[in-house]
Amino acid sequence: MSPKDFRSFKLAILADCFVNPIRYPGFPKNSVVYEVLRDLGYGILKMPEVNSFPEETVRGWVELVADQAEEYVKRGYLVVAVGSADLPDYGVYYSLIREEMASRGLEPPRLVAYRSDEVGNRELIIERLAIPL
Amino acid sequence: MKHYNMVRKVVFLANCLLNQNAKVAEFALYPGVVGPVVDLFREKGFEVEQLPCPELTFTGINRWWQTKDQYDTPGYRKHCRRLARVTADLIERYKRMGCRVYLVGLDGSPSSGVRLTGRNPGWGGRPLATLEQYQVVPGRGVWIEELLEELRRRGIAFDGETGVPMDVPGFNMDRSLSELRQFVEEGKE
Repeated sequence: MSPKDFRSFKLAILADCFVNPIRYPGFPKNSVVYEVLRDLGYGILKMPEVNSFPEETVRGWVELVADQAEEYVKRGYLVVAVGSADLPDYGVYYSLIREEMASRGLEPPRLVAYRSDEVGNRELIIERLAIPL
Repeated sequence: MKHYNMVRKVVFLANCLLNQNAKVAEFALYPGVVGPVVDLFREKGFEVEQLPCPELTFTGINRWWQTKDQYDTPGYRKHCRRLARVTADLIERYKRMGCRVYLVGLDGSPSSGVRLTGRNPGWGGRPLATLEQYQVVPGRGVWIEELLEELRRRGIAFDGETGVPMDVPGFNMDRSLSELRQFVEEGKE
């Protein structure tokens, strides 16, 4: 890649709750997970809001995200899924992503999940991003 | 139940404003998130959504530089329409809920340009392009055209549209942020 290009070669498929916490009653209203990913240079592929769309829409979106993840991984980029342990399917529709990737003969992205009582802890967030669950 | 004490504002950002890895080679100005832009909208109380990048899922991450003229094909437009249907489902839901919904594209882009796009009818064949040959002209990119057409079919429209001119030579972030702040102010009820 050109020296003029500043891309990080790493991405996070990210749960909506970390970008738009106001949509999730009872969920911590801080943005530390988003801020850590931003500061560490991760690109974000944001998933749709949880429990808000018909299955057909969600599956269509998952297919788009899988298309992107497949292309990035094929070219040597790092792709992880970052979700909430307190939301259905981690807030990233992880079972659908896993199913879609499996239908292509591919491994799903590694899942990094945080409980609600952890999402304000910057050091813990960074540490878990670096260490497989 | 979710409680909001004001009209909700939702902004759909071009894919690469949250993920610079999607950019064609030499156009990634940030490692990942374009923090100044995304944070401006978050700080102003917008909920943030992300548009897909049709170029990445059509010609891939190792694509050449291309103009709107080269992307303006039936096959690419069909690909964009598929993405537009999924994306419009999200936009439509927020519109039906009474949210104010905004579009912030990537000006200068052959696909995601809202006010400006890139043309050169002469490009093709062996890739010997230079930046100077990439002609930035008023107009929308192919993807934005198809997305707006899908919304028109559904009888809905964005409440405001603009673009961050990161694909325009001489891009200046401070100037762009001033424009975006003005865009946000004008969108206030």
